[in-house]
Amino acid sequence: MKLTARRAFVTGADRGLGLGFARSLLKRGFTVYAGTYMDHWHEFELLKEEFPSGLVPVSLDVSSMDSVRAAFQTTADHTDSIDLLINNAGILTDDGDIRQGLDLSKAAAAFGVNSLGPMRMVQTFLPLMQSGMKRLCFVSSEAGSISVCMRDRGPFTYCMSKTALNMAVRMTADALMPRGFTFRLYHPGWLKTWMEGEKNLRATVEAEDSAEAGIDYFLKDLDVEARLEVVDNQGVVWPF
Amino acid sequence: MAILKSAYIGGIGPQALGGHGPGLVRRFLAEGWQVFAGYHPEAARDIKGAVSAGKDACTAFSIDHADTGAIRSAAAEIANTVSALDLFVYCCDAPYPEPLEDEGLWQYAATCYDHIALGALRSVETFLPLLDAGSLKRLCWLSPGNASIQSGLKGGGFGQNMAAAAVHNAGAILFNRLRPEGYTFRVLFDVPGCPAVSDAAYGYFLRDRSFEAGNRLHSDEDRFTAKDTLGREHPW
Ligand SMILES: NC(=O)c1ccc[n+]([C@@H]2O[C@H](COP(=O)([O-])OP(=O)(O)OC[C@H]3O[C@@H](n4cnc5c(N)ncnc54)[C@H](OP(=O)(O)O)[C@@H]3O)[C@@H](O)[C@H]2O)c1
Repeated sequence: MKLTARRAFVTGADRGLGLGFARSLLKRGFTVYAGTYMDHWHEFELLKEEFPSGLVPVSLDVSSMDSVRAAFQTTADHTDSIDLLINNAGILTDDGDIRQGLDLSKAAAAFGVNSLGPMRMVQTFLPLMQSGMKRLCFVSSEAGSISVCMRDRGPFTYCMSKTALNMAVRMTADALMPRGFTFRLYHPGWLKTWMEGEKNLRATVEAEDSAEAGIDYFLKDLDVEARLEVVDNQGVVWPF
Repeated sequence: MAILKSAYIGGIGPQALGGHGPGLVRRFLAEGWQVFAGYHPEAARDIKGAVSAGKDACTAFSIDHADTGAIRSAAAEIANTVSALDLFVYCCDAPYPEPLEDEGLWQYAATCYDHIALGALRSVETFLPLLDAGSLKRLCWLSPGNASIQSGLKGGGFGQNMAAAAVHNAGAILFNRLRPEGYTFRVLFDVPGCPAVSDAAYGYFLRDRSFEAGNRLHSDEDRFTAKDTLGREHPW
């Protein structure tokens, strides 16, 4: 494939899967606008040292419209076009069992970050995506799949936020596909990342490996672009 | 007419926004049920007629479904009247109109999510003890068919569709958790163009699905599915 696309924005790029996406894109010659949420993370600093010109940190909280707008401005000051927008930032909830009393205190935050964050990003960054690859990518999860739901205790609101994201992407795709935009929904596998607060060593997939598989999927043109589906790190399609 | 059974019908939104809750309340009352109705404040006018038609058999509560306390106090009042509820229905209705200006769209989506998706979860949790004591143990949702991600039906607002789709996933988790305890589940999609939604919902919510036609392999109660008013199954 001839690669002409060269600029990408990744949200939640400080660590975990987002950092892996940034690294993979940098290695492939992209300029990466990296949405950073944390004040400091040593792995991100190392990546900056490794790719001083290709990696552009952009402070970003996807749950805040003001922050998203400011991130857009920072990016627009650097470039007039983004080829690839990767909505990766996400948070986990732990709301317990319906029989033991649910704790829904993080539910609104999860919806604000996981479901609405990507929508704020798409809405705001569209002016930078009128040319080039026009590809909108979303990190979803098997947790959002209703058909193959295996959980009996949740976390309800994490799973629900990913289903809501899938729905919003469906509606966004209906609106933007006719304007030449293409869409990718990705389930990265069970990752050895920091979603639970500390590195999850019980998980099965290294973030870097999933990031490589994800970027391969994001960059590849599909035979049928009109079909929206969730594809995982092994190329398996998950039903909604 | 003797009271047959008791139902809680929550999440009722204004008819002008496509809500079928008031019609559903009327239908249950006409069949002799005792109905407790939880409605979003904006649906007050629509529910009034249904309540007066039901005389003593209907009690309606204006509920802020984003507030667990409000749902709990309605449940406490209901528990003063009945010792059990047989059926739980949640309408994934829009609580109030979508703002016209773009700026308010995501705030409205968050509100819809709180009232519809989390409201449904709060309500199930709150009413479970009364449902445990009931004879039917059935959880039902009346939901917009546009909230099927897969089916490709177009239309509906972002907020309501996102919230309703999220409810479907909560329903799947609840199915896994409560089906082994004997609970059964119904999701009815209100698909644009299909008439008589309240009648169809009443019929479907009460039908025994264990030997559904076209499914000879296993009890259809052991699958979490969505059907429309014409009996067609829809993908999620
Ligand atoms: N981990 C898994 O097994 C798994 C499975 C399926 C899907 N996913 C999805 O994969 C994506 C990446 O997760 P991960 O496993 O790499 O988790 P992670 O290690 O926690 O990384 C997520 C990154 O997003 C940041 N973030 C949190 N809130 C944000 C906000 N409001 N705005 C911008 N950035 C924010 C996080 O910062 P903080 O660390 O400071 O919060 C962190 O840097 C998420 O969408 C997640 O839902 C993960």
